[in-house]
Amino acid sequence: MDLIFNSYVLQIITMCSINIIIVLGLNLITGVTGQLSLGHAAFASIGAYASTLLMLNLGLPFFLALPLGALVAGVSGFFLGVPILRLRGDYLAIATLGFCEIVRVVFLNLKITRGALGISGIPHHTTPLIAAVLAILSIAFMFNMENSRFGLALKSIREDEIASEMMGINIAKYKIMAFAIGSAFAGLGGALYACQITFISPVDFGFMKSVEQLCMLVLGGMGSIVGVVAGSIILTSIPELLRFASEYRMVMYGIVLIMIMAFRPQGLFGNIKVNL
Amino acid sequence: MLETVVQQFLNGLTLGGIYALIALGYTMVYGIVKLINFAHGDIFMLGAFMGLMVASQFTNNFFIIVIVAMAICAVVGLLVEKTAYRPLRESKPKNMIFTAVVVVLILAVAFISKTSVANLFDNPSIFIGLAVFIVFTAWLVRGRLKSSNKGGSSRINALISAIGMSIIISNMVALIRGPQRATYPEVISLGNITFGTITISMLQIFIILSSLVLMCILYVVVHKTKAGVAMRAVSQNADAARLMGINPNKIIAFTFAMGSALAAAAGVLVGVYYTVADPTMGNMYGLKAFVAAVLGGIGSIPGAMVGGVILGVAEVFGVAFIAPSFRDAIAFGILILILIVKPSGIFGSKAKEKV
Repeated sequence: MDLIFNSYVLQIITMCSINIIIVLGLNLITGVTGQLSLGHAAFASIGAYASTLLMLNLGLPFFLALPLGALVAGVSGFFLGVPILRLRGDYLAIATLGFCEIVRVVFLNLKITRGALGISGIPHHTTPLIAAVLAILSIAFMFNMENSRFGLALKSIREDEIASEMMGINIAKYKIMAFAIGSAFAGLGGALYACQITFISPVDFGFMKSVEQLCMLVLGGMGSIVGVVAGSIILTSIPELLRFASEYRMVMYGIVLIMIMAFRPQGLFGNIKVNL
Repeated sequence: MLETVVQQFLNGLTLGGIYALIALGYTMVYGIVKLINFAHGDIFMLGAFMGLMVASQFTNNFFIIVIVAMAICAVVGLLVEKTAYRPLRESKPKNMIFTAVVVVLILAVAFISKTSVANLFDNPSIFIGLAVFIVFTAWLVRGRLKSSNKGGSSRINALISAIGMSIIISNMVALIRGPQRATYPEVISLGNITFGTITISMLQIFIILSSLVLMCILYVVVHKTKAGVAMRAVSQNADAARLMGINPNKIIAFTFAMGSALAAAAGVLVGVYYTVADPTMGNMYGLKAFVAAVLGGIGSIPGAMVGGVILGVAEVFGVAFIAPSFRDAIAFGILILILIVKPSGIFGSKAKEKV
């Protein structure tokens, strides 16, 4: 057992679980509701910073700071969602991207976040067990939600906004709720990430991080929970297995995005097509 | 105070001219294929590096540098379009195989760039990895060709493909020539002129004039040539244009080439102006130029020019008089504001939704 579950493997399992949680949130926004978000990392950073500051400055225990971090991310997702979810398609993607950059610049300039230095010495609370259990709970939550009335409404928005509006679905409300819940998941993942790495800085949550998360989602298949899990695990563990190719990592991400889009738009495990 | 305002205004115009040149590429491509070409900012960066290569190895003549950089980037723009976007528009076997071949070539170049030719065969894992990758690609292509879904893909897919292309270009440049900044040699030295207390850098005037000249050339091409008429026709209605004997694929490729050439010119101008170039600069300039395109009304060519200038001036004044450390946030703040107030931009026409 020790050979299989050594600390290195456990660390990879933790990172996989964290990424699964974050990408599940992105899947709810982009895969299920069909609203392309390029600023998902911003919500992860909000969750990470919020829970870290609550722990370090107010002395809250980990199990309280974690949900509070997710809550703060969810609330900021809600307040961002209200104005920008009137936008569609490309415009929405660009607005979320702009928001991501603004969040990064704000964290770089605030005193309380210690700017570009980042916050170090965060207590290491994220055990592989906690991360894995939370990931499994998130998966179960998403499975239930997809088949609930709420999830079906979101899917109908993805398939055809006008038709679903005709069916009496309040598009704005559902989109904003999906956005807030997805952001909360990102915040949860971000908080776990902070307590795993024990160091966060604004650079960790830039546009490239958002792209990485999108890459996981797209590789597995948008709108498919199996795809999210598979994509997150593949793209988190392959760079670890292919240490010698670490220089090509970003190039590989780009190639994966292009190939999947050209040859298998539904992703490796998805069977649906997302329409804008 | 007056000197500062005039000086800052000139700084803003210079930056704005550069943003406008990049924004034109975004807006033309968006007008014609309704796609945000994320790789555009990286083609701008590539232009700066191509200019640098020519300047440091061959000649010091500014015009030759610009023209060579524009030509190379026009070809790269064509390749980007053919690799990342065309197979999504029409899934013919020809297009699929082209993409597969380019992708494998990119990966091979990436591997080889880090090993010297003599040591190429020391590390067999590279070849195993490449072989696995080729088999995987072939499997994907085969699956796509056999699948019943032969139609084009949706716009979200094209956007993701564009992001992929952007990552590839910037990281390939970083792999091949190292991620560090490069210093531009001084290719034009024009000095300053002084009016009373106001000193004006002639380099800035030169950059503003260069971008104006390029925009005028673009205007003539779009409005007076046959290709330009075809371009506008395709952007209004691709199907009707096809019925009139226009090949939309050719026109789209032409648009990409032209936009990329303008971006390359902007890249060389930035290099000459700031005397540095680095592989990640495409991101920020690209995003801001995109903001400029949205501000002016995406799809509208005069909009891109006006938007670029407004954004450049706003950014410079914001940095000088409000908050220097929030430089990048200013552009995105403007973006979110304009998207909320008037998403169609200053010159944009409101698109009607057809049910």
